[in-house]
Amino acid sequence: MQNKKTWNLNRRSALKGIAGVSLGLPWLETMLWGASKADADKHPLRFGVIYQPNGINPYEWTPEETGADYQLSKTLRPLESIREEVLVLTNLNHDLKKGRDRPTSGHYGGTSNFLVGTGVKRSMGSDIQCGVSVDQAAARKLADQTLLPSLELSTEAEWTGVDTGERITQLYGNSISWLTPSTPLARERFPRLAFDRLFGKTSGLGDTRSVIDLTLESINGLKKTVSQDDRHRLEEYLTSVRSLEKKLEFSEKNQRPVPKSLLEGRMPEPGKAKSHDEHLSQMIDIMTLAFQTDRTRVATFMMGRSSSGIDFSFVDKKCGGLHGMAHHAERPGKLEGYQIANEYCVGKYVEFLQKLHAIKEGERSVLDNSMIMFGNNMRDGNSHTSANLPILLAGRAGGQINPGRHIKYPEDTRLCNLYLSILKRMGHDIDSFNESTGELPELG
Amino acid sequence: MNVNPKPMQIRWHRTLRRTAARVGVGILCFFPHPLLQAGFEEGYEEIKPILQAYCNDCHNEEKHKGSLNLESYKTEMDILVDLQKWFSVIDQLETGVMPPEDEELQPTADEIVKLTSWIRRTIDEFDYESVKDPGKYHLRRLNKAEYNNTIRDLTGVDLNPAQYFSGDGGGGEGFDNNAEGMTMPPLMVEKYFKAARDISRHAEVSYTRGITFGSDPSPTHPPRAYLVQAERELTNFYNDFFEKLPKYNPRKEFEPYLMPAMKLALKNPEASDREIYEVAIREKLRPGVFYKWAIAFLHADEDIKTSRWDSHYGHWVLDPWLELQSRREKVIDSELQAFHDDFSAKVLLSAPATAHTNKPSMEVKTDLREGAEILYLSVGDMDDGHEFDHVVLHDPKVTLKDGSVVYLGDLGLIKKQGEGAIHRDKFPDGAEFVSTAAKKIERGFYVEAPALLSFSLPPDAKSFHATMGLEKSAGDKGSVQVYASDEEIPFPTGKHTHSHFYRGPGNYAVEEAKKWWVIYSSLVGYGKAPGAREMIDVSLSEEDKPRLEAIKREIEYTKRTPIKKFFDFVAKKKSGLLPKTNKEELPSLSDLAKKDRAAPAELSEADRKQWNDLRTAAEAVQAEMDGRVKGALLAFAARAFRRPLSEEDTGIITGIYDQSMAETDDFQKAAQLTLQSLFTRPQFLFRVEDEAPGSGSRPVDDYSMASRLSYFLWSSMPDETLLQLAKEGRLQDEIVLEEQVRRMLKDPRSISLAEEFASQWLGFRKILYEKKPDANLFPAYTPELEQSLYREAVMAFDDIVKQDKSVLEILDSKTTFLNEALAEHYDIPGIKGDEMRKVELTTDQRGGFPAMGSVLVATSYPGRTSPVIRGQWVLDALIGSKVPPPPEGVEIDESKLSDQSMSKKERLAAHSDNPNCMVCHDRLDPFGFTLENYDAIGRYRNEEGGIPVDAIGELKGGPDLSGLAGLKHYLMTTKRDAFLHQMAQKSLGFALGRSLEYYDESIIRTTVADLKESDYRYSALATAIVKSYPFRYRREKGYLTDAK
Repeated sequence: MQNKKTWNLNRRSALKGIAGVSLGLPWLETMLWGASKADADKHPLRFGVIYQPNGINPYEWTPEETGADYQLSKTLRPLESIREEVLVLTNLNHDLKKGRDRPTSGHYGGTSNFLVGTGVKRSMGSDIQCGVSVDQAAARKLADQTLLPSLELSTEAEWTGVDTGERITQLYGNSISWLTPSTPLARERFPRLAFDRLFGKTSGLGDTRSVIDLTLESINGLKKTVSQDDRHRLEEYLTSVRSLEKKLEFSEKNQRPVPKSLLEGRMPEPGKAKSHDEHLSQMIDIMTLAFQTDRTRVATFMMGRSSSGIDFSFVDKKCGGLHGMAHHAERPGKLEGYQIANEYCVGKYVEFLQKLHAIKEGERSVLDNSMIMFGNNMRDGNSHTSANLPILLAGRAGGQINPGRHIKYPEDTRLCNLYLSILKRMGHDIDSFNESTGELPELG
Repeated sequence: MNVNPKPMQIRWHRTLRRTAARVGVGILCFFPHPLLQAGFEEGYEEIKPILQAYCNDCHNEEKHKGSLNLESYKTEMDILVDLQKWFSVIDQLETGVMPPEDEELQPTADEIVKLTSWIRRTIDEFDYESVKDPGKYHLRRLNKAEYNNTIRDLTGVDLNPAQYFSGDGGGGEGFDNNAEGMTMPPLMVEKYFKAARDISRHAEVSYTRGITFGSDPSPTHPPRAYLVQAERELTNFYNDFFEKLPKYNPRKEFEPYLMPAMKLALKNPEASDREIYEVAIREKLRPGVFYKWAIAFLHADEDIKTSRWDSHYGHWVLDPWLELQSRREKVIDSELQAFHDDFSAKVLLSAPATAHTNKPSMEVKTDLREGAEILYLSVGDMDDGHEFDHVVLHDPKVTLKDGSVVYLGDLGLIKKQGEGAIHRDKFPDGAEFVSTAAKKIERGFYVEAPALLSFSLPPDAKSFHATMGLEKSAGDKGSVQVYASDEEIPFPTGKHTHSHFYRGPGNYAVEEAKKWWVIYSSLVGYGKAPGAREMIDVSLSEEDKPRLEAIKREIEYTKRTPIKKFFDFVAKKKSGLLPKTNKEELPSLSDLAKKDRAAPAELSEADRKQWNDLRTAAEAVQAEMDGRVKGALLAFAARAFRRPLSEEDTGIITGIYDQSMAETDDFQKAAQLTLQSLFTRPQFLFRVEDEAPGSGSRPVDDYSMASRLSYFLWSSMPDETLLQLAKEGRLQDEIVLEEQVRRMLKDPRSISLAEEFASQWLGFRKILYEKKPDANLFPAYTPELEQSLYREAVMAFDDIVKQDKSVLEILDSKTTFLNEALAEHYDIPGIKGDEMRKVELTTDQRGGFPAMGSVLVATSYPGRTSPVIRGQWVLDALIGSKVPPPPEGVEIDESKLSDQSMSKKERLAAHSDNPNCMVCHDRLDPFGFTLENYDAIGRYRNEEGGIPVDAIGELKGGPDLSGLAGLKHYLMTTKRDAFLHQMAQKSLGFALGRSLEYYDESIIRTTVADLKESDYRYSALATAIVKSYPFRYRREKGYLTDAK
């Protein structure tokens, strides 16, 4: 066999050392090793989203009063201990009139569109389309700073197939994060795997480097032979392999060590969590750790997928499956269970906030240097209404936000205005985000 | 090529039937009809006024209610491209759902017939053959199930690596193998890379067996360990045989072996293993045991020279034999017999019984005969000298019949033979006896061996008993045999079988005897596995022989003998060349750079020659070793890629192996890395088909065809048979395809059609993920029951596939699969035990998928049944009739829906108050009501909340369907064609893994026709799809859709 192409493992060695520029962030040392003086300005900003599916009880969400001296509504009562750090934002929603072929609401369109604001194309799968989500827009700028540009978590398996009634692919109900308008991001639902991904032993690239190289080479080779149509699939694969390569390179060159004591006892068991409550807490803990150790600065967590039927009877015997309860049909019995589940979900959000609040970064806390949103793509789960979505925003964005208030905007204010405001605070120099009409006033 | 052999006649047949059955106006006069010959435009013009009069008010550019805008259909092609919607239009017109009742303007029956006939003909008459488009074949990655199954079939181990993968989206006809929605996000890729690593670690590499996978990871080692491993394998190979043999105790069972072994050794000193084996068989002896005896005698002369035999006992046993062997021809039978007897006795004597060796004391006792007068007591050495052989009898006493005792010291001593001293009670100097036995000494009696004492017994003596130990002043080195009897016994010399032996713990003879025992037992086998490898070798089956050969060759390879020889020579002649290696480690050829392998010029001619010869041999064996592994890797890679490797791939794969070998000298590690690199390559992860230039379509290449077959029918990679057929270029042959489909459907792997296809089509998979009944309301719904419900559906569908039954059994069947829990759930008596089995149904409450618990759960809310969801399931899954999603922002009187005082039907009637809802719910709800006899977890019920269940579904425009029976009858008759069409359509969507296009309608029709002609057998459906144009063709690279 002449002209045999052999593959050289050492092709890489020439490249070594290029990427190895230390980022040298003093704040991390301060945080992890307790140096006395901290430079608050250098602390990174984080953006987190806790997503709850299936709407809320619309009668118990919105507080009566506005401003700082508002009375917490029944559903928001769990916020009591941390209300000074939270904004309640009323009357935000996406464009409701995009039409049947571009749903912005409902279980599918609403979920995919929640962090986007372009609506989704009503598709049976062959031509899915949404837009870039706010978390991914934020992550794009931070990609080289942390191990992972962003972290996507969930608790439930993806649904596959199509909803023939809605004539739409189930895929839209699986993720709120969109890397590109045609790439929804897969989410990790196993706490142990999420933990390992962030803190697991990676001795850098090692053998994987040669496998990555070969894979990239193969994809590039194949790209030349396939039709134009298929090329973008390989392109997508290529991009994802590159991001893995980046991650491994980062862990090899720039990874800051995490003190063992921080991780001790916090590694979840492999497989499924014992209960849904434990599952949620483990994911919250992992996000907390990820923010604290700067493994990522953007994290989104779907406490359930779209139209999740998770059984909430573990909270109270009056509760049942979430989706079933959401269709309360105005029956007091069902509303009662639904209400309890809503309060429980707000409670989990508070659990996350308190953890972040308890971690000091210089004079401040991690929460002070974050923006942590809570939200739902529906208001009333019964009738799938999507005007005036339940939205909370916690944290001070390093002093750029002044929380502790209930702000009531004019009806039908664009949720994308909030996203634009968030992105600008994350340092993006942009004037609009998808269907935004301008920055959201009164935040800071 | 005619892929659609008889479309015309079938089409007409079908149309006539449907029209007759549905419209109920008999066979109409439209055949022949002027429109039939007319073109689309003319017909359309005639129909347009009807549409405009009755339909366009709601279905126009602005309003398009139910997503239907009639104004958007300008040409025939517009209608064809949106075929499904127009099927639905026919359905709604014929069932009277449309136009809505409250519309004042209603079309006449004639107008409806005119309209529906026209639509139908437009759809039917179109010459789909003229399109000849196989559709777009999207490059697709393996989905979760395909990944798992492919790895399972590739490795032979069910590793389930995809269990932590994300789901696969979905689209098209609703399956998760749909290529279009399968994205490749970074998390997925990380998981693929991790899986690649994990899977490859299960690979075990062997020079002879190639690559195999275990259910546990195979560790990598330094080279020496592979040798140990190979040798262990040899041991295990034999142990497998040995373990089947019964236990063997050479001390008890040696007799039958002795004489034949001696005779063989004398008669045939050169006996081969085979000959030994034959004697054993002839003598009905166990070959393995006999072999050991035979070899012991055959090789005694050599054995005696080895140190292990060179002992007191060795000579004691073998010297007499060697004497016989030295004059073997002249040995006579009586001599043999004498030796045999002597040997037997010695074997018995020299085998140490455990009781004798280390106990500090021993019981000496004998029962005395009635009227016995003399007690004899012998204390002998053990034929090993009598130094230290001083015995203390602790409480030697005779017990009389009345229970009283007389101590030995009080009996009259009749005679004492032997030189040693005896003492009663104390030493003459007054010192107490001290014994190795811990027991207290009462009236002790001291004897020095050898001695034979006789005492006169008192009358009525019944028994004698003493506890015995060695006198401690003599140390613990003594060894004695003690015997008491009322019969005269000889003076103790040599050994006696009748004696009680006793050895002090420190006796030198113990060590000697142990040695003999070890030698003896190892020679003739002992314990669990008495066998001889040689006997296994000569009796191996034809299957086992190559297995053993392979193990032996593997050992030869791993030993690296030629390399070692070469290195030894190099070390001797030019030691500076070699790095110092660990003595334990095996040499690696890579330790000596290629340039250093040439024979140094300063060596002599002869040395140079030897050097070069050794080098050639070493390099040859290294190349052979590497070649074998690389060959196995390439063969594996070709299977993993499901097609022959390109030259470039071959280079890449061998390259990475060579490189890693050079770095690690660990062939398993190198092979594992190479395998790891295969599993992330697009050739493995994606289903890559050969692209060809051109702007039309052409048959897919044979290897792609093999994959299309296997991923359709097995959700897995092609097997050897398919790859071989592909290699022979026979997968374009329709007869071969038919044979393969039949074969593949019978294969266990076709269970994927139930688990991947049916579970998604019929929706019962949902009970595993989405649909969870309310645990508070339904405590009976346990995880075990859920599994049983799921298995029932899978097994029922699989049964249709494997038994090639009628697909109509999906709708109605007399059998199902149950276990005890599920039978109880269904209220069917007489089924016991956990395992699922086929059951002939005697009840009419079950049978067919509509009455299957899994389906009923999947179509319920967590807390209650939903006639709406169930109705939609009937329409959507079984009939294939599309119902548009509920309009957004619909206001319904919620109070009605939640009014518990009303029956479910009355509550649902709330929909009917609102014309917006009514349109669809008039179609949905009646079907759902027929299943109201089944609760939200699929149990049969006659009443709900005290109110009798009303299971009548009143179809708009009739008929009324009564319960399950009514539904099934309706489906089996009126909707039979619709069901067959739906099943064919879903199957085609699954097989092609893409959204269907209007031109696929012809394939669906051919498939239905084939089904009808074959008693609806499943194989007809699968075969029709496999033989279809889109399944066997693909677009060329530059396919131009607008050229058509």
